Amino acid sequence: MSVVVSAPPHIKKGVSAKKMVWGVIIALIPAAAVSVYLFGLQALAIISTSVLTAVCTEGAIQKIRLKKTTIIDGSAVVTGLLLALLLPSNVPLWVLIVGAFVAVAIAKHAFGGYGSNIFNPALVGWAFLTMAWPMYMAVDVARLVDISPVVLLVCAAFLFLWNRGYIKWQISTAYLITVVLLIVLFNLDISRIFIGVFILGVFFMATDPVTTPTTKKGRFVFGVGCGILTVIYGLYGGYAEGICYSILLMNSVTPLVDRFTRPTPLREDKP
Amino acid sequence: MSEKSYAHEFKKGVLKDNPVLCLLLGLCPALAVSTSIELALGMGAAVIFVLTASNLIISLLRGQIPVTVRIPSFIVVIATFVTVVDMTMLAFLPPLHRALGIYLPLIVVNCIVLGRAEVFASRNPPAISVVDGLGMGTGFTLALMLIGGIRELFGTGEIFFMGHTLLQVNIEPAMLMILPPGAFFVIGLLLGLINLLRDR
Repeated sequence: MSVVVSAPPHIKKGVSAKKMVWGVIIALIPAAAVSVYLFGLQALAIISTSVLTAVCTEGAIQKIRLKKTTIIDGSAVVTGLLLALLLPSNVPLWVLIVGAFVAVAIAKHAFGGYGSNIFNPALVGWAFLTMAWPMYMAVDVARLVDISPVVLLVCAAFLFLWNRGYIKWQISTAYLITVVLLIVLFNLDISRIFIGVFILGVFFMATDPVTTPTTKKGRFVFGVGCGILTVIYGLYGGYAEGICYSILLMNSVTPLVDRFTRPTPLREDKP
Repeated sequence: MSEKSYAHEFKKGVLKDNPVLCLLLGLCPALAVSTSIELALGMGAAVIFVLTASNLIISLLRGQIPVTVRIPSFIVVIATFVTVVDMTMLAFLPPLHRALGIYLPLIVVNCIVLGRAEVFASRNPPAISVVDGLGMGTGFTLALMLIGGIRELFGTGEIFFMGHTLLQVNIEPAMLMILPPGAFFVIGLLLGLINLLRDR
């Protein structure tokens, strides 16, 4: 029997990107289920259409570009699911199909596919729809994610347990603390942090593995930035929109944050 | 200069070296005033005039302009023609003048005009410079009208031109297409399409 001696670290844990993404999906399922329970079949139709469109778009684009089809890794499912949760419960299905298509085709594959996208695809799809058909994205109708915050918090807790050590908890922590501090500072209504979109944003969208900083310090910067922008948007505009736009904006400065927070190597030869 | 070469210079500006879609010059007006075909045509006509006239004058003066101060000299010539266009349009087409707004005076710093002056007109005889200006201007106008047409069609559901509705489709207008992000989407997708066709 041959013995292979390789360099450390000797990690033996069956963790893969696929497993992490499916963890997110499983964590979101209770939220989706409660949403369907509250909003009825319309919610089920929205969620399934969104997921189906996202997956089909991903498969079709990978076929056209002669790439390996990776719909099994679930990233398109997450995109579709997150997008569906952000939409109002009376959105026409064709609007949703366009949104899911834009999310996967433009926000993800035009930038080079999973791992190369700058912006969170679900958020881009949402922003596209908000600007293209504002009348269907009316804010006075409850969104699919406007369910009991307890359910969403349970989902988030599950997410953190499942992806222990891999989810970027620094972002969520920094984001949450910044928003709470600013709310206290500006004397705003504290119940803002229990809005469904906020919980979804803090725990699921701001912690996206691709579009957020990789350095540990950078993650705190990212979270603080998101928090400040969210509160500023909330002061002057729609609060729920502000959450999504603040994460999108911070996505765009992620490479910059990464560059300025690069840790110095332990032994760097001085020039 | 042979006949073929004139045709070549003209075609080059429209197709191979299209300023907006191939050289990526003059993107500021292409993004800002491409919300409808009419606006795009107005902007394009202004640029064609300025480009052709400034190319002619700069080409005639190319022996006289000292190399060290050539950029200011070009700008003076270009600004003269832009002022002519600006005042003419204000007198005869006030609505178009209002719609184009700041982007009309900004033709002075349009990189297509300065670029052609620097790269082409200052090194070539007048006749061919005029053809180059016409070709580049036409290419710019066509690109702008293409972008404007797509944005108008999807943003308002119809293409409106000189008081007539040219084309009407039964879609829910996407407000995004008329807003600035729409221009980025359209130009980005067009560039992708052109690169795809070139690679074939």
